[in-house]
Amino acid sequence: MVISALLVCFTLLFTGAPPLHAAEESDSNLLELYYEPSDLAVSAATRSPRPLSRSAEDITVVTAAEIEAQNAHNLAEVLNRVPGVQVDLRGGLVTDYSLLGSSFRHVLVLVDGVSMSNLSDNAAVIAQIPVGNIERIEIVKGPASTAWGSALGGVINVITKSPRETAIPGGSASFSGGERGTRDAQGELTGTMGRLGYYLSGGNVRSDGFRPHNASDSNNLYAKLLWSLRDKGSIRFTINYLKGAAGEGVFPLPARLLPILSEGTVTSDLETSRLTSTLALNYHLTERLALDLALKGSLLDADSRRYFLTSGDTFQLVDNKEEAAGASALLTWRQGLHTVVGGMDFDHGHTKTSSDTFTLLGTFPAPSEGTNDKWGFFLNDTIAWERFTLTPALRYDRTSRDGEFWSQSLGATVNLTDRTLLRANYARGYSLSTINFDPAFTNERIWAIHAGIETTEIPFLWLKAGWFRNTARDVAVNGERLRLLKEGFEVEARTTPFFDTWLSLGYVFIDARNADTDRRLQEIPRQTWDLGLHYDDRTFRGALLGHYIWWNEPSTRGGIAFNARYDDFIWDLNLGWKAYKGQNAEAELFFTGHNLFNGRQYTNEIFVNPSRWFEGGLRIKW
Amino acid sequence: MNRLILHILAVLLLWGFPAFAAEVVVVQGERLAPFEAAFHGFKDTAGVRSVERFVLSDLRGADVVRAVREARPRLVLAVGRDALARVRDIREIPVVYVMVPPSATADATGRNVTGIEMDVPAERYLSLCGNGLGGKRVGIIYNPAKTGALVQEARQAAERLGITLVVRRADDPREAVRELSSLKGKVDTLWLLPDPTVVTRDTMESFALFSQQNRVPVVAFAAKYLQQGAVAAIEVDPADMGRQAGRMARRILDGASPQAETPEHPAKTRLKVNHSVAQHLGITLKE
Repeated sequence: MVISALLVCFTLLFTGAPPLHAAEESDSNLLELYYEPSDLAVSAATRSPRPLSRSAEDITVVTAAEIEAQNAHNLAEVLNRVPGVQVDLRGGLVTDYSLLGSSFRHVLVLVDGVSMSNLSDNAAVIAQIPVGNIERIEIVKGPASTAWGSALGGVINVITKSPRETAIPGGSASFSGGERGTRDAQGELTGTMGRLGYYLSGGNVRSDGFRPHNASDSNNLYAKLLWSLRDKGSIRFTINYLKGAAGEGVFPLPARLLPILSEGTVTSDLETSRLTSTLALNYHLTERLALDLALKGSLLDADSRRYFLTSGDTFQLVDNKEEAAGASALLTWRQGLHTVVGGMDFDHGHTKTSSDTFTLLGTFPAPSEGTNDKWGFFLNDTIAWERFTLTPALRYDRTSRDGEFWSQSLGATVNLTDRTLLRANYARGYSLSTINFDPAFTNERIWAIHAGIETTEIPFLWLKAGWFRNTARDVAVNGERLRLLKEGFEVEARTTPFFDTWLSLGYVFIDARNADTDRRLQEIPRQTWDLGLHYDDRTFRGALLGHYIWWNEPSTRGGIAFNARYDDFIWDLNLGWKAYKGQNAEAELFFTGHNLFNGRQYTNEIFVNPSRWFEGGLRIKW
Repeated sequence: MNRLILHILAVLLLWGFPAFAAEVVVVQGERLAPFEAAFHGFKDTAGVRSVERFVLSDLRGADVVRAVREARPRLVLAVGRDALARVRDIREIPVVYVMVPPSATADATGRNVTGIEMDVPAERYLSLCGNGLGGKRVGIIYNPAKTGALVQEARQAAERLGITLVVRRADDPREAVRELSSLKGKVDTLWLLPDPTVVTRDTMESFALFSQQNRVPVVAFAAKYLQQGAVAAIEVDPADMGRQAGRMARRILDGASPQAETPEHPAKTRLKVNHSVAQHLGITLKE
């Protein structure tokens, strides 16, 4: 499949295609013909996906161009570079992640508006989500329940690319390879025929892994069809298929089991496939009123198998199958100062988990099965008046398993000057319990406040800083249900490019405590650092990126020493060279050196991070 | 708290929605200093009560056309090529553009789209070459895909002014340098077009060398090239072009048809001279 995709790419490359306007002729490129770069500098005043006057939430946006500059393979690697997102990369498909210290159980991961989190424990396999088809990622840090329902910790919203509006197809093909058999081949094809736009992508990523029994192999296919209703709107259909298999590693069994088992070490394999699809209508009913309707469906099949290392006998099998379907309807009414959005969501989810464990240990209750139907009704208004914006929002959710939830938020922004924005947001949110496993995960709720400033008043510097405080109650932590108080601040800064060179900084501090005892909690990362030195003259680009997390791990958990080590920054070097830039196509060679100084960053010695390794590749666009 | 939020929403919804929608929505490509200057110039003269601005680089791929339509402005100002490309699908609202090169406006202008061209008329450059510099043979190197429309305009202006254009085509910078050497002895003046294929850091060194060795003055489209060997440049002022766009917008808001408002060239231009290069070439030019 990959070879045929590449063949298609090369065929199209040399059969004529529209000029690469987007890459070659951006506004800044054009103005650099007229002005010195230093005469252009103003710096972007915000990274918000909405106008300054409307974004009270703490939002970070990652664009397709930034993803490409990272030479990243999957969503986990991209999120690992976003200040405020803590990602524990464990190789293969296994990745733990949190958002400002909120567990993955409280974070909603969406692709095209479809949840990629499973129903059984709300985990999304973010290392399986490819990045080639991503237009942008919006990361809402903090409760987002008034918009999305169950999202106590925030939302990672992936928006995929749209069809290119040209009759002659465009696209790209990329191939990279590196140590330990690491390979990544991706291709995309896009264009418009009459009123039908299409965007297709697919690829394969594999690796032998950098730890014992950690090989992985993932395939992805994606299609988006867009039927234009001219000035009235559009109809969109998407289908997304992800399939992967990976070894999770080699695990010692607890000492208490050794007397009854023939051996004490197991290996673990994970196989997962997910098929999602959407059908959506965007229609302008009147000049002031727009309607959005969407249907969505999702199938998940995840099998986890553990074997004794020496004998190969089965130790444990867990098979999880899920089906989900849903619909949403949304009306947007713009009148005067107001943008009012009202709508409803319906989601039906069913999960069935069968589990079988080595007979000497007994057998888990099998199969476990559950269904959850959710109705959500929401209304919000964005009132923009001169320098001020006020955003009240309210949502009511009714679930078949967990009862009712009310969420509300109130946000405000003030443009102090053309270069300085103040924002503040108050929100209440919740996270639904998971259908299977631990019944303690019910009714987790949160209230949170966030205040921040974004400014370019300081010459040659874009600065965003924020403070947050939230209290979550009934949060399940190691079997206990705690009232959790989290407080902290974050800083993001970027210098104005000078001779095509700039610096970036991200720092997040989180203090998490048991609100009842005031005892500081572990296992919630306390500090994260992201440093970057960047260069891009549109022919050559390079970035030296440093990443550090103080994971705040206890020395032992459950009496077991995990021997975590996280004293070091992990430094990566990304390089790119546009070796060919023609009217209709361009080719870029790229290279990444991972963990240049052999730093150690892991929360469990079983998941020790890879030492220095290298990869490189070629990307062709037309 | 639920009750408070419900009350706020109820009060807002019952408010009656006074029609305070922004009169003008400004869509701007990036937060670049010349764009900011054009935007502020526009506000100075458009005489509008409320302006809402969408900056594409801030919006990061969001559906701008939809946001503009929902804002229901009486007029849209597109600042920069990227902005014009994004709003050209809007047919029901007048669109005025500024800071957009002619190559990007050729297909965009229509019944609801008009604006201020970014470039000085070819006639102005050729008059400078013919009268100020005394050269009747003017050399141009260009990429048809980038500046073909401008060369077409130049041919017509040259005919009117009795000037001979010596035109060479180049599809990449190396070819531009090769074509430059073929102009030796065949031109009295070189006119640089705002063509990214031809004008690069490397090719400018070749142009400067050619100018010195053959005593052929180079006329540029921006003052930044004076330091790189050009003898003169005709500059445009983004703030003034913004003010010009504001006046055009005012006329449209007052009832003029956008179709009747034909695109305008910059009203004010300024001649800038590198006197040391002029002295070296034995030329006298007044700024």
